[in-house]
Amino acid sequence: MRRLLASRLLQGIAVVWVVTTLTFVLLHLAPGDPYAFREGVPVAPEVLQHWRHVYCLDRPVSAQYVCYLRSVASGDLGYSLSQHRPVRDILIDYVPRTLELMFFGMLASFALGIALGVLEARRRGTFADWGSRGISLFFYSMPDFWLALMLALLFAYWLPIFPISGIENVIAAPTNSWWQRAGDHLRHLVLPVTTLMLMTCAGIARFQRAAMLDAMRLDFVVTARAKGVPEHAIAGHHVLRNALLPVITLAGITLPSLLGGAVLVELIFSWPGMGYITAMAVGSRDYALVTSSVLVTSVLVVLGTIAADVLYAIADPRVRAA
Amino acid sequence: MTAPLLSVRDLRTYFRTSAGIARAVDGVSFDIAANESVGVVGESGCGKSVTSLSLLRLIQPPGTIEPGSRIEFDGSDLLSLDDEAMRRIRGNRIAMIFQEPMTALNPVFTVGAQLAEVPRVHSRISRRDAWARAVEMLSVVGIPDPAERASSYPHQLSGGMRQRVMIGMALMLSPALLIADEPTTALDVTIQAQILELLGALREKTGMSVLLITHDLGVVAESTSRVIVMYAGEIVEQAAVRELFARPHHPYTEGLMTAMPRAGERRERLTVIPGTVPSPYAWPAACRFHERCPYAWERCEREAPPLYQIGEGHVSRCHLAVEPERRASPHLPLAARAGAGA
Amino acid sequence: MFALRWLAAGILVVSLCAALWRLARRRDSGSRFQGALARYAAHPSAVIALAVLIVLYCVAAFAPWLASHDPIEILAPSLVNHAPSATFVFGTDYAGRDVFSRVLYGARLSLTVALLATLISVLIGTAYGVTAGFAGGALDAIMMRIVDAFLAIPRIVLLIAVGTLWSPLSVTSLVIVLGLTAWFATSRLVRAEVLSIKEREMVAAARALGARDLAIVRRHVLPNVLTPVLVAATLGVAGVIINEAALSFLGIGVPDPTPSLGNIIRDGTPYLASAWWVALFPGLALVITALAYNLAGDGLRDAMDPRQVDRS
Repeated sequence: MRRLLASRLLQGIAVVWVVTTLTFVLLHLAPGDPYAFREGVPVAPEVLQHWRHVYCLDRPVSAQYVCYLRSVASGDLGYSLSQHRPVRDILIDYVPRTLELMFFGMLASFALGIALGVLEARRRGTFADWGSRGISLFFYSMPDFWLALMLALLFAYWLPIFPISGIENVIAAPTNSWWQRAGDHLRHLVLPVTTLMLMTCAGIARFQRAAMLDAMRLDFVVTARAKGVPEHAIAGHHVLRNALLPVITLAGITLPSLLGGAVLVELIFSWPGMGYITAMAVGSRDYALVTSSVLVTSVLVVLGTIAADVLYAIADPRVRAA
Repeated sequence: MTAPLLSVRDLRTYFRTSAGIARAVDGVSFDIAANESVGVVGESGCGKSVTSLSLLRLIQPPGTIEPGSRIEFDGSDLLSLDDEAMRRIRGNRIAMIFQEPMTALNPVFTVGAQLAEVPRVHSRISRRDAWARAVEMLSVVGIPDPAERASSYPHQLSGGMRQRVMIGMALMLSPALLIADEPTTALDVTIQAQILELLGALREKTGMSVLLITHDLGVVAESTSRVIVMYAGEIVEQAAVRELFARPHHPYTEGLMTAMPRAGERRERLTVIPGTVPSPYAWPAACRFHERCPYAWERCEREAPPLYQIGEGHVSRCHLAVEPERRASPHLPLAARAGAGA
Repeated sequence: MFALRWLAAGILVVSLCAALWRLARRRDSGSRFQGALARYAAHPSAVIALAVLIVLYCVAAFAPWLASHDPIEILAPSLVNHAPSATFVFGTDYAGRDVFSRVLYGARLSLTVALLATLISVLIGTAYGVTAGFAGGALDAIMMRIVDAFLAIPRIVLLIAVGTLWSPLSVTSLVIVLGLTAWFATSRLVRAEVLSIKEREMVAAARALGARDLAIVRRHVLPNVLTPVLVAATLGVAGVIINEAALSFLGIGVPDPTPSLGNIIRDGTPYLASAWWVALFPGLALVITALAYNLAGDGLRDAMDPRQVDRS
C-alpha cells in the first residue's frame, strides 16, 4: 500500500511538473509583456525593472525556467494585475469555496449516478432503463453554462425557491443565528450543485450500469441465489459491492470535467471560487492569474486521482492485502 | 415403499435464442430417496449441469423449464411455488455447491460473512449468533483455526479450503438434499479425495441425500450408490453403482468405461468414443447416440429407443435390450468413418 | 416564398435519409462495412441521431437561403427584445436583431468550427499515438506523461488561459486552438491500438521480413485504428461544440457581431428573466447537436465492435 502511494505521488509530481512547464511555455509564447500595465496606472520604470529582475526576465530562457520553477515551488505564483494582489493570496481566499462546491458536486453526482446505474441494470430493457439513460444523456449533452442559466430561470425567476447568487444572503447574515446561516448557505449551494450533478451523473450512471451488468454475470451471483439470498440483496449487496470498485476509478476521470464545469457554474451563480475568478479574469490579460488556475486545477486533479486510487486499494480486499 | 425425497418427471429445459431452440434437458425423469447418494455422469454438453440448476429453478432467461415438467420435493411441486417460497427452499432444504470455488465465492466479503449469510437470510438470527455458527461450521468442514479463518477473504485460501467453505455454506441449515455440481473437478487429485471423504462423512452424520454431478467415473464409483448416465439431454442408463460397473448395458456407458484408463492396465493407446457430442440445437434423429455407436443398425436410425428395463433397478435407453444378439457384431461407428468430420 | 424554401430543403433532407436507410437495410452482408451499417441501423436512437445531424448540417449549409433576415442587421430599434412571433420566429435580442437567423448562422459557424477542430485533433492525436506506440520505451513514457498532464487540466481552463493570453482570437485561430486541446484522449486510444497490433504483427514481421518498412505496417495499423478513432471523434465533436460555445459565451471565442451559438446566449443573459427566448433557443440547438453526436457515437461504437457482449 505504501508503495502504491509512493509511486502515485511520484507520478503526480511528474504531472505537475509538466503542467508547470506548459504554463511557462504559454507565458513565454504569449504576445505582450506580462508586466506591462494596461490600465493606465503609472509605474516608475525602476519598479518595473525591479520586477523584471525578480522574475528573471532579464536573463536567458533556461534561467527564466529555473527561476519560474523555483518560484512556483515556493508558492509564489505571481501578481494578479486585475486584482492588484499576489495570486497566492487570491487562491487562499477563493480555492476553498471551489473545494466546497467540488465536494458536494462529486457527492451528489456519484450518489445519483450510482443509484441510476443500479436502477438501469436491474430494470434492464424496461422503460425505466432507457428512459433514465435518455434523460441523463440529455443533460450530459448540455453546455454547463446554459443548464445553469435555465435552472436559474426556472428556480429563481419563475419559481423563486432558490437563490442564484453568492454563498449566503449577505444582508441578513449578520443577524442570523449559526443554524440559520448554515441553512441559508446550503440553499445557496443547491442550484450550483444541481447543475454539476445533472451534467456529470450520466457518465457515472452509464459506467455503473455496465459494471453492474458485468458483475451480475459472475458465478458468485448464482451461488448467492442458490443460498436463498433474495434478489434485492443480490443486486444491492453482492453485485453492487463488486460493481462499485471500478466506479471509484471513475472519480479520477470526472474530476477534471467537474472542475471545468465549475468555472462557468461559479460565474453564473456568482459563487466566489477559483472558477469565478478565472472567468472574471478573461478580458483582462491577467496572465499570472489565468496560468495559475491552470496549475491549481491540475494539482487538484492529481490529488483527487491519488485519493481515488488509495480509496480503491482500501475497498478491494484483493488489493489491500497485497 | 416410502415416497422418494425428490421426484423428477419429464423435465425439459429449453433455451430459446436467436440461433434456435437448445433442448439442453429433454425429458429427464428420476427419483432420489432420503439418505441416498446418486451420481449423474456424462460428458460436457449432455445436460447434467442444466438439470441440477433446474432443480433449484436457477435457470435464467433465455432458458425456461417447459410446462409439463414436474419436480416434486418432499411432497410439493417445486415448479408451482411462487418466487418467495422457492427462495425459502434454496440453501435451506435443498443446497447446491459448484465447480469453481474461486469464482463461486464473492471476492469482497469474508468467508465468515458468506457463511453467516445463510442463516441470516432464512431466519431472524442475530449477527453474532450467525457468526458463531459460521465459525462452528468451518471447524466441522475441517478448516484449521476457524475463528481466525472466518475473517479471511476467498483469495487468501487454497482451492481445497475454498471448496470446504462452499460445502460448509451449503450445510449451514442442514438441507435434506445437497446438489454437488462437479465439486472436485477443479481440484488436485489428493484434495479431491479429501473433499469426497468429507462429503461422505457429513452425509453419514446428517442423513442428507446427495446428487453428485461429475464427468469422472472414478468419483462416482467411490461416492455414490446409484448412477444416472446422461447423454444429449436424456438419461441413457440408470443402475446401482456396482451393477453399472459390472454390467454396463448402453454402448455409451461401455465407451465411458473403456475410455477410463485403469491402473495396472497395459494399453498402447487410450480408447475414445469417436465423434463429438451433438449440438443441443439439433439433436440427432431417433437414437441420439447412433452415429457414434459401434452396434447401431437401421432400427436405431429410425426409432428412438425408450428406457428399457434391463434388470432390478437397471434401465437402459438402447434397442440392444430387445435385440441383444446385435452386440456380437460391432462395426465402425458412422462418426468414425473417413470423411465424417474432423 | 420563404416557407417554400423550407419545404424544398425538407424534401431534400428526407430523400437523403431515405437513401441512407435503404442502403442500411440491404441484406447482403458483403463487406465489413455493410455489417457495421446494419448493426448501426438496429439502434433506433442512433438512426434518429444521424438523421438529426443530417438535418442540422443541411440547415447550416443552406442557412443563407433559409434564414428569414440578415443575422447582423439591426432592425428597427423599437423591436428590441421582442417576443417570438410570426415574423421573428425566435424573437429578437437586445440590439433588435432576429434571433432565428442568428441561430441559423450561429449553428452554421459552430458546426463547421467543431468539425474542423475535431479533424485537426484526430490528425494530431493519431500521429502522436502512432509515434508513441511505435517508439516504445523511454520516449513513449515521456510522451504519455505529457498527455497525462494535459488530461489533468480541465479543458475549459486551458482554453481560457490560451484565449486570454492570445486574445482576441480570430475564427481560424479558434479552430486551431480547439483542435490543439482536443487530441489527448485520441492519442491514448491510438497508442493502445498500436501496442496491441505491435504484439501481433511483431512476430510475423520479425520472422518473415526483417526490416519491414514502417509505412507497410502502418497499413495494418491505420485501418484497425480507424474504428475507435471514429467513435472517439464523433463523441469528441460534441465536446468541442460545447467548449466553443463556452468560449464564445465568455467573450473570448467568436468575436461580435458574428453570431455563434455561444455568444447569442451571452447576449441573452443580462435579459434572462424578461427576454428568455434569446438564451433558450441557441442552447436548445446546442443540446440537440451534442445529443445527436453522442447518440451517433454510441451507436457507432456498438456497431463497430461486434465482439462486444450485448450490454444494451
